[in-house]
Parts: sequence; structure tokens; C-alpha cells
Amino acid sequence: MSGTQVIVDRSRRGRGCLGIGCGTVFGGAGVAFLVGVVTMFTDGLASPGQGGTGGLLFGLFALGFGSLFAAGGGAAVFFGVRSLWRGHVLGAATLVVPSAPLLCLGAVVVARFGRSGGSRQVTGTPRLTAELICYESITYRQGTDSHTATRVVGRRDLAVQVDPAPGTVAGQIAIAVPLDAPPSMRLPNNRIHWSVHVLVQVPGLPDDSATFDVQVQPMVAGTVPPVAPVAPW
Amino acid sequence: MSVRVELALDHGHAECGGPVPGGVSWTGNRKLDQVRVVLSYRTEGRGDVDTAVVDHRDLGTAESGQARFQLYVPALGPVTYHGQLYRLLWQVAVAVPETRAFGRSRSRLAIVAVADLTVVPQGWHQHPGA
Repeated sequence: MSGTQVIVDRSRRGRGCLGIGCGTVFGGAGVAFLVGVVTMFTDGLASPGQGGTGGLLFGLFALGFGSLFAAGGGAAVFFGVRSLWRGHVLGAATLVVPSAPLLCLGAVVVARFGRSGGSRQVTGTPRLTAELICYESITYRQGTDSHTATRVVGRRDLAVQVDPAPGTVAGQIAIAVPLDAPPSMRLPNNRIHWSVHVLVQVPGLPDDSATFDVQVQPMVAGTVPPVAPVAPW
Repeated sequence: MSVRVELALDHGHAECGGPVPGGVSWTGNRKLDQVRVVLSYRTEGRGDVDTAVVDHRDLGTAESGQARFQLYVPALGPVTYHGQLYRLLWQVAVAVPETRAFGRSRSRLAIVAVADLTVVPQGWHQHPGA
């Protein structure tokens, strides 16, 4: 089997939209609450003799409560917009993994990382660092709720060769899978999954990261023909 | 249940996509039920249980007998795993239909013998560092 698999990291757009959405809801609620409290407060000041010390304390407490919501919402909106802006500037992150040799236990597969479609030329040489992480996760139900627990069971730094071409953020990542690690496993409630985490540091821009889920086959490198079995699930 | 079964696997381990050979002998199958050998896995731990029968062979309905069998592990496993949050265990079992009152309900299988199996990645035994 020949060819490549292109994995696109879209988590930044999701995180940005989530931040903006949550920030708008909570921040808006906080601001509305503050406006209401301030209105009540000024009405109280306009007609002295009502409320007294208790009313003043309640007003201060409400002000603090509303301020917390407004500040939290504002921060969420800020980080959401920042996340979307970074995605717009640097472009979508992709990892191109060759189909052969197979990504399996003990294998070293050279994948190509790149960011494309950004609106701004990168002037300095970027710095790329990559890590291969193995997660174990389970799902269990308690009553009508479903809970998921995840643990990192292994991680290792990967060798990265940065593409020297000017104006690009790209490089080659040698994905070296340990031999004594579990392969990917995807059962309904119990899973093992692997991902490549890439940290991008570009002079003049905020640090950025991308995560790509990869499939580690239950085979040992060099002992079997390079043909991927078909997933039964 | 008076069926007596002896189950023996040729090896205690198998590779993904590989065979699981073994032998069974049984006596006391007076109701002439179908004797079946099944290969299955099951998870244990904090998560909800995942279990599946991935292969089986029917060995016949004789009152007593012995047979060789060969089951197959799927190419993608899953492999035997002992992790922090869960374990995945494989077993080969011999089962006969469960006879309930008046001998009418035979939909369930009763396990009468079990042998544990370790499933490893394909090519594991050929690799010098494995």
C-alpha cells in the first residue's frame, strides 16, 4: 500500500469558537447583572433611607459577583479571539504521514509537518518541537451521566528537522514508536490512542501548538508485510 | 451440569492475526448438547466492560469425545493489556447450552472450562528485542 495520510488539526478553531461563545454568554450575563445592580444602587442612593447597611453590603457583594462573571467572560473572549487570530495568521496545521512503512511498534516513520494558508509571511526561522504521547482512557456511566477518565501512559520527544525555506513553518518529524508500548485500541468504553503534539515557536508571533491523532498498528516493525489490516470496528 | 471437560492450549500466547491451536476432551454430555469452543476478550477496571466473542468452533454432540481446534485472533487484536485504568484479558472457553428447568430453555451457554491466553502484536515473537 502506498500513498499518504493527511491529518489536519482543527482543534484551534474549535477552541477559539468555544472560548468566544462561552465568553459572550458568561461575560454578557455578568455585565447585565452589573448593570442591574448599579441601577438598583443608584435608585437606592436617590431615595435615602431605604436599605441601610444591609442593602449596601448586598450591593457590594452583587457587584463583586457580577464583576467575576464579566471578567471571566472577557478573558474567555480574549483567548478565543487570540486563538482564532493565530490560526488565521499561521494557517491550518497538517501532518502528512506516509502509508508505508506502517506506523507500528518499533517503527520510525518520517512525517511532514506544515502550516499552510496563513495570512502573514514568517520572517524568522521557526523552532519546532514534537512529542509522541500515548493515552489510556475509559468511559463509565454513573446513573444517567457518562464520565471519561484519561491517563498519559507514555511520552517521548521526537526528532524534528525544520524546513529552512524562508517564509514557511514546516519540518520533518521522525515518529519513533517504542517497542514496549501498547498499540492503538478503540473499544466502546476502553481505549488507547496516540497523538503527535507539535509546538511551534515563531519569532514575533505567539507560541502555537497542534495535536494530531495517529494510529499505531498492533504489529512489530520489520517482521510483517507493510499492509495495514482493515479495522473490524 | 455433569459434563467434564479438559481444555489445553498448545501455547499460552498468540499473535494478532494468528492461530490459537488446542485440544479438548469431554465426557458426560448425556443430553448430547453441542460442545463449543469460543475465543473471547473482556476488559476489567474503572471503565464499563467491553467484551466480545471473536471466534468459535462447534466440536460435535457426542456424549464423550476429544477434538483438536484452531481459533484465530483478529488482525487488529486487541492485544492483552494491563494498564493503569483497565486491563484487557483473553480466554478460550468450552461452552455447552445451559439446560434450565424442564429442559426447555437452551438459549444461554454455560462455560465448563477456561484457559487464559495472552495476545501480543503481530511479529512479536520474531523480533529479537521483544
